[in-house]
Amino acid sequence: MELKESVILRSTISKLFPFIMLFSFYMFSYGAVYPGGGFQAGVIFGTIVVIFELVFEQRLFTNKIYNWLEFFGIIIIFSALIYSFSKTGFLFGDMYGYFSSSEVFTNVFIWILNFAIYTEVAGSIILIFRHFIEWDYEEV
Amino acid sequence: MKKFDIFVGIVLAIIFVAIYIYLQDIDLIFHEEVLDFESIAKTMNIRNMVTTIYLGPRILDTVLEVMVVFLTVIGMKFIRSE
Repeated sequence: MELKESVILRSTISKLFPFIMLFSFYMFSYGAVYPGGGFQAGVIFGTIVVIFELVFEQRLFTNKIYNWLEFFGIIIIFSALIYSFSKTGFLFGDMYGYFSSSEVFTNVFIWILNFAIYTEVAGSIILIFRHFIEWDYEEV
Repeated sequence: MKKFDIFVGIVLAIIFVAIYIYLQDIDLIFHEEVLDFESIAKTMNIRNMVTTIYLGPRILDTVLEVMVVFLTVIGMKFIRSE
């Protein structure tokens, strides 16, 4: 029996999908004030998309979108790295000072960096999975 | 079954006594750096002490992990293009 024929899998994934997405947003947005952060949240996002694609045998978005997602994250990380290094001479130096009284945006820089890491890891996980699948398909 | 329960009870009692005797020799020291971490947490509005201590090293650590993932994707693309 194929995965998409299983009613249990299909109904479980379709019901849990939005909640797991929400959990991944929560993980990265609270990364500056609680343990956890962008990497874990990106892996959660990537994993649920991969599971969705395996069970429903359809692509959520094209590779190009995930490539851009990954590229977007890398650009933000490198911009922050170069900016902080040129300003202070240290990697990510003098960037902890931007904070607000808001609970979610309590540390603005860490939040932006978490977001960048989140997008980069999410895009990468999905791309790695797709490359493996396509690779396997080409060899067969 | 009853003998086994008594045996487990005796073993647990011995362990608790051993732990109690061991803990009496430990001196409790107050680390002054906790006050610094407390002030950092108050200034930056951080709610969790683990995050306060680990925030700086965690960024560099995570960025390096991200680089590994990014290089993996580039490597796979390169190998597939060959």
